[in-house]
Amino acid sequence: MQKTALCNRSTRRGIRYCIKTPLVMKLTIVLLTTVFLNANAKGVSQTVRFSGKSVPLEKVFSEVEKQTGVVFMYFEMVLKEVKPVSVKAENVPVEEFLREIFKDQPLDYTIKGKTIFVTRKPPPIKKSSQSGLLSKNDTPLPPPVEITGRVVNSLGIPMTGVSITLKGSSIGTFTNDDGRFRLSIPGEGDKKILVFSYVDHQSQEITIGRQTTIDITMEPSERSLGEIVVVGYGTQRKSDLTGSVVSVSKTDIQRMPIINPAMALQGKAAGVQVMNNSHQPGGRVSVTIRGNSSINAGNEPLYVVDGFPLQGGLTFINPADIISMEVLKDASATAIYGSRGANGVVIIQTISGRRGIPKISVRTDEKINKVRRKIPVLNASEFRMLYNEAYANQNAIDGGSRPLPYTQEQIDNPEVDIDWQDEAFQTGFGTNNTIQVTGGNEKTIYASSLNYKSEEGIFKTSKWEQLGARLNLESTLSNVIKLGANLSYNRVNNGLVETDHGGNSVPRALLESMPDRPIYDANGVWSVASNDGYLSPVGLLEGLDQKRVTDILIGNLMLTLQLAKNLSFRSTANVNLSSAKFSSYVKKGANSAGGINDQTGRIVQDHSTNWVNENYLSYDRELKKSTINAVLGASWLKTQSDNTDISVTDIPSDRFGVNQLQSGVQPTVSSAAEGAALNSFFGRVNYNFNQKYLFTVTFRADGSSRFGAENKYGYFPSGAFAWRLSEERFIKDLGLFSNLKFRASYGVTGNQEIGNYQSLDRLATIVTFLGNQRVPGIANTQLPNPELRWERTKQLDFGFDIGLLNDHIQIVVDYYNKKTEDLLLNSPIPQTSGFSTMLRNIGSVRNRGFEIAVSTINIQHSKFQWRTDLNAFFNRNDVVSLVNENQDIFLTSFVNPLSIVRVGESLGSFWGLVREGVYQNQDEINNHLANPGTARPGDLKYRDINGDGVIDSKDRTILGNNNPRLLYGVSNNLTYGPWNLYVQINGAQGVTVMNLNPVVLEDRQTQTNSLKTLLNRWHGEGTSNTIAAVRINSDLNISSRHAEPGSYMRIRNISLGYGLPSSLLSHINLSSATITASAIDWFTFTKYGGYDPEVSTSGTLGHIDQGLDFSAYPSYKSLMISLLINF
Amino acid sequence: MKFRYIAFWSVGILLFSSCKKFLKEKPLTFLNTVTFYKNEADLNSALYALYQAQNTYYDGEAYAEMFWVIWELPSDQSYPNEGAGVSDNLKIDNYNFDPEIKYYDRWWRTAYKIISRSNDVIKNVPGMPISDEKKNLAIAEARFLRGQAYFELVMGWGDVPLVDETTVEFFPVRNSATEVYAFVIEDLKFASQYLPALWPDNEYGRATKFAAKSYLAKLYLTMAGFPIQDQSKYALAAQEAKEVVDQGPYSLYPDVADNWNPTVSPMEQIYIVDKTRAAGNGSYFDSYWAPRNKNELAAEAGVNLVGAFLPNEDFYAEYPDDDPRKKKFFMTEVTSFMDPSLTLTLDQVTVRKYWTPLYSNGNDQDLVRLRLAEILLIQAEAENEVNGPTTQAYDALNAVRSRAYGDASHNYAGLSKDQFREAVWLERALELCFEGVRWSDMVRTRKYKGSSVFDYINAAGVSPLEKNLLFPISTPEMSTNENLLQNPGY
Repeated sequence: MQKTALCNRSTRRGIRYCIKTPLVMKLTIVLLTTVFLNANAKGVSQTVRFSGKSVPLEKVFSEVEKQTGVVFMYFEMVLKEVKPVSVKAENVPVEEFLREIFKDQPLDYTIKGKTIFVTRKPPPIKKSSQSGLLSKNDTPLPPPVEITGRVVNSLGIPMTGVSITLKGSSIGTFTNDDGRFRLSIPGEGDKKILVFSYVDHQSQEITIGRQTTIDITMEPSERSLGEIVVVGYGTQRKSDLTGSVVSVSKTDIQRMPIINPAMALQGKAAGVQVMNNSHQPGGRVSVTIRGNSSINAGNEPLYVVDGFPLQGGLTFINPADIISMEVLKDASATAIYGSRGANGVVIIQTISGRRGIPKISVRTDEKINKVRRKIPVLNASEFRMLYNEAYANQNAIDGGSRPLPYTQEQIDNPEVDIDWQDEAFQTGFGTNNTIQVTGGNEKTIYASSLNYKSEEGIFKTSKWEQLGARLNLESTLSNVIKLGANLSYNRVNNGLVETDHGGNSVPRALLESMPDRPIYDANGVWSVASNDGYLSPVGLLEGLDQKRVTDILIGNLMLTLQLAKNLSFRSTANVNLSSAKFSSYVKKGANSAGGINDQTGRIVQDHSTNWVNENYLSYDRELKKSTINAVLGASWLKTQSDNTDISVTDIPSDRFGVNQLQSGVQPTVSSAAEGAALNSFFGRVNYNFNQKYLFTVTFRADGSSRFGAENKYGYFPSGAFAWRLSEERFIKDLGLFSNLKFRASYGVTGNQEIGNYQSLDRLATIVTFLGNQRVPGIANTQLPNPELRWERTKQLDFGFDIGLLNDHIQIVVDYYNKKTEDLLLNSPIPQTSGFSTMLRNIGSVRNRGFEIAVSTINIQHSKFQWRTDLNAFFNRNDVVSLVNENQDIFLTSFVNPLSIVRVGESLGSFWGLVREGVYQNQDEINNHLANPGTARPGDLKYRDINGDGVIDSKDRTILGNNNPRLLYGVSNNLTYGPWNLYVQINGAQGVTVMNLNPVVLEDRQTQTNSLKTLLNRWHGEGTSNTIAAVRINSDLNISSRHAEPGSYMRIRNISLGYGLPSSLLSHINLSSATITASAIDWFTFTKYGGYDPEVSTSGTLGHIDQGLDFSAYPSYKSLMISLLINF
Repeated sequence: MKFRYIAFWSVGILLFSSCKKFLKEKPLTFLNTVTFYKNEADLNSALYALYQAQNTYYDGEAYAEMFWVIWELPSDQSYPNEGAGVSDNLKIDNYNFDPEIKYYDRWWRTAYKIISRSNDVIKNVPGMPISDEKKNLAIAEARFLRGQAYFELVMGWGDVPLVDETTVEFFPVRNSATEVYAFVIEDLKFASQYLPALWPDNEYGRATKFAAKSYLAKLYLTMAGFPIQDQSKYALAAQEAKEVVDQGPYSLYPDVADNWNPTVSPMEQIYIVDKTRAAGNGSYFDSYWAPRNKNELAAEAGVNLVGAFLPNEDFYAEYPDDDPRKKKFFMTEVTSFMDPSLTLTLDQVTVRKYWTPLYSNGNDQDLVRLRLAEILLIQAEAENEVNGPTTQAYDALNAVRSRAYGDASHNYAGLSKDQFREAVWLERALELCFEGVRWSDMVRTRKYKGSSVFDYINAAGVSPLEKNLLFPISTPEMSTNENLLQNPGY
């Protein structure tokens, strides 16, 4: 309803806009949607009270609209020749009143629900009697041509009230409830062009050739300046925006078979980096807007769904239910979200109803998933040959006499030779089905949807199954009160494969399992397939049963009161209940010496309850030359959660899995509970002067329970200015720009996403043992920090919005510079304090960059349309200051410290030694300044960076970082008749991925299997300068070998769609049907050696640890067929 | 219109009501200092937490490696197994005491965690509404743990920052080793004065009077050696050791192996870390000393036999064949506990001292920190230094020896003072091997196998350097506290 109120307002402005702009031809149209909304805002009564003499008809219409909620729809010139009316009516039924006022007019009218279409009476000579037809007085000489057709939206849903006009004339009509239209146009003259227009959609011009049937699909207009953009606590016309906001359309969201809606942003919005961190179905996706600016307080943007901050994960929103996603990037746009705005805000709106008969649409996707690539590893013979070689080398080094493990016969003819990747992978199937029903009457509109999806990963037991339902209602109770309610429920049943990074991880076992081990041992149980005692991937897949079942119920209530003409009050409440049960059961025989205990069952239950209440006043005022709108409000938020974790071992039978835990022994139990609260006050004023100068001032005060007693509240102001240069004479006179806007903004936003209770001292229970008994100790486990406060991000943004060639080319360019201060960092402190880290506000990080987005209409023809969208994003990140200038902070380690935070370098810089090659002979060792005394030919040669003659930790250096220098996306959309071809490409350039797999798979021979590259090891002078001789004892070091270029270009989506012709569909009573075949992620171009350069396997720091690959879940590509039907 | 007024007022109320309580955090799972130290139960919990910190010291944070990696691997008795892939182990064995090695950081961190928790107790107890007797007991227990933690710090690092219950300095400097020793002596003396001789069985593992005295004996002996070389401490060591031997409720097991057998009652153990098998607590260290990767020996146990450490073959060769400890402490073949019909011959000599049935959550084998045999050998050594090889000295040494052989046939007699000293040192090696005392013995005596210089060369041909007599302060600690000076050579 919030949307309604503002749309309403903007409609009025929309009219004025239409009048002024030649773009909308010679007609002024009142467009249906907004009309509905308009009607919606009014009370409804079925009688009319009106008296007056010689009142212009328009005025009568508007009075009737006010009183009854009906809406008149007409072309402006229709009323040119009408007479003023004199009428006296006291509570006369509408129909009767209409008959009265139209009595002597050259007009016809048709009542459709609450809409009254007013058209010119057909000229008496002609026997045309079609309603909705409209023609000029002058009778055409040749016989008129009758054009029929149907208009649907991008989902295939018929669109009512789309205006169709003949360019250069006043001939026009509207589509009916079924989206159909019929229009007679004069037969004479040269080429004719029909213009299709509808609010919030792109106008289309179709040249009429010989065809008499025209079916078209209207695309939502990202391009139209009249487009409404949802911003925090309100909506704005795109043309009025002062901030940097990108919209992703419904069509784009729905093209991809995604589980997490954030994936729809990938490659679609400049400035936004979306990484699919785990390719496990439903796996972790991280979104970064304009670079990482925090280490410990998170970098994920705030998601606002239907006005409420999301809690519980985006995966619980069905992408098919989303009608728009807006990414708010600069401080002007995000400051209204204050302490949660620093990482940007993504605003998501879900479906809403439309007045009219129920519209039903069904969509079904069927897909198959295949692993993107296999990684070549040694086969059994190669493995054994190198195993022997390692022993021989080791004997040579220390003069030992270890017997070689394999005979030549065993090497040449291994008893088994397993390709574990073949054994563990499967072709996964996916299905996704949605039914949506929308509709409504005068008082209430509704939208509902049901969704079932299931997605199998490329491992046998990984599966995502989701059932979702949604009902969005909106009701006008009186001309003062409006009420809305949304309810959504989702259940997810997620079968997980073990990806813990210990040895019992399926992706790890996949590559490390030795090829000469059988799948099952002599007793028929899964064999141990590594020298570390870990199971094979098959054993882990079959022997471990893990799943997570999550239920999420979200309910919203929204109440709007129209307090005065310009003032409304809105109060909203949101409750989010979630319950998740993780269970894991290890079957008999699936124990591994590496630490899985069989017949162990575990259940973890998590519950959370969150509520939000927001109350705000909106004031809208149009003055002569300017408009003001203002928002002032308060918000309250509370979250509470608890969890219970139970596990037992030695369950006697596999039969009941985790459902009979009481039959096990050694129970381990833990439980915990926590909560947080946020209280905020906010305000914003938009001032628009003369449609040229736009000002926005925003302020928010946020109080968070998470911060120190001395810093509970944080204050976040911002200001912005935009200048619509294209409205200025001197620009208009150039005739070059159809749109030109300059934007500038500056503001402060915050970040508070740290854990709860971090500012308090924490005396926690810790259990230990005395006298063989458990005894509960209590000790201080956290130093208090009463000064703990918000991270503050100061951001400056300059941008231009440019439209050329009648908006056929649109360009958006932004430069930003944001500096995050008071970085929340869990930083090391002297351990003599008894503690090793403390969460403190120290240091600052800067992100600077350019964003550019270009949209072009290359060809716009009735039969053939081609559009291209392109975006590119350049970001530079550096750490400006830290606790002490010279203190390096190491965030992650694997064998050695792995990622370093250092002043002057980017967050996410990788750290290690530089490999110079392999010592070929003793001379080379002797000549190398930093030869370790113990080096031998065949050992790795590292660079002595500090030149002190020793290779040690001081010789580590920065090997690259995980911030791409460039991120880009390009999409092309071609339509030819009923055919549609869509190709989307995205990629990253100038980024490093730390491929940790070779640390194990190249440098740790004989313990595990190795990559095929190990065949290129050094085994004599000149044999290799990249890989060391094989050994039993390996000295493991992170080095330049592991920092691989992670640039890639991926064809995300190629899809070909075909819309069945309406002539065929009408026989089977369908409005529309479209079949689409897509290839998803099918082609990836990269030099990266792991499964996928888009990877992050470190779960602890998320964004900062991007680009670490250790046993990542392999990525997959898919083929999909979709069918979209509208009834 | 009335309705609109109502609406207006409700708007006002909803918008601008504010509530301080709303933002106050009310933790549900922990307390704070203000609400703690109220009664005896609180006090007990605070004391238990000291043992928890100590337990992670020897186990939790590094499974079970840390203790041996730091204190055992540099010695001449053991070396890291090949293929275990732990480069830190190799570095330490090769006397490359890299400050980046995580174990130095962990040991330091955990020691100061114990110290910090002890300080909390010592600071808060005086204000509690309980009897002086109970206060002294609690403070004694805290000072015992604090003293022990400092003792190991000073042995390892030399000068270390002294942080006590009055310290407010966040970035302390290092105090001299002599100051630290003096501090530890005060703590342990206080502990030995107020702690009980025994705790009830269900609190076995808590600090006792004689544990404190035993540590004092060990500390005095250490001070008498390098680098402090305060010879006057021998007498004190002999005195404390004698009191433990004479007055303490301990006696030698007839079978030395029973020290690590969780199924027999404690007898010889003076101080242990309780490793009762329960989730996350059982001892895993047996796995680190077990035959590497011979998982068939423990297949049902579901524990990987890490086999990270091996005994030096030279050291193994030092045992006379008739010394029964040779078979009790070492093995060359092994029979599975799970399947007695399965016996494997091992490629390398392996330590048997800790070889017990493995369970999925480790086993019940306590980590023995002090036992009577060591105190007897301390008594013998100190007594010999003070008074020469007296009867008292011979009794102490021969008690250990005759227990080892089962009779007095191999007892020593008629040695000179120097010979007696060498005999005690040899006995310490044979009796206390792999118990984490050998490296500190080497540092303390600067002697190896009776030779007069510290000239040990390991298998890779590397000898310890002067700098190796002290551990480095870890890189993270050095970089967070600019007031610390690194030990020389690192």
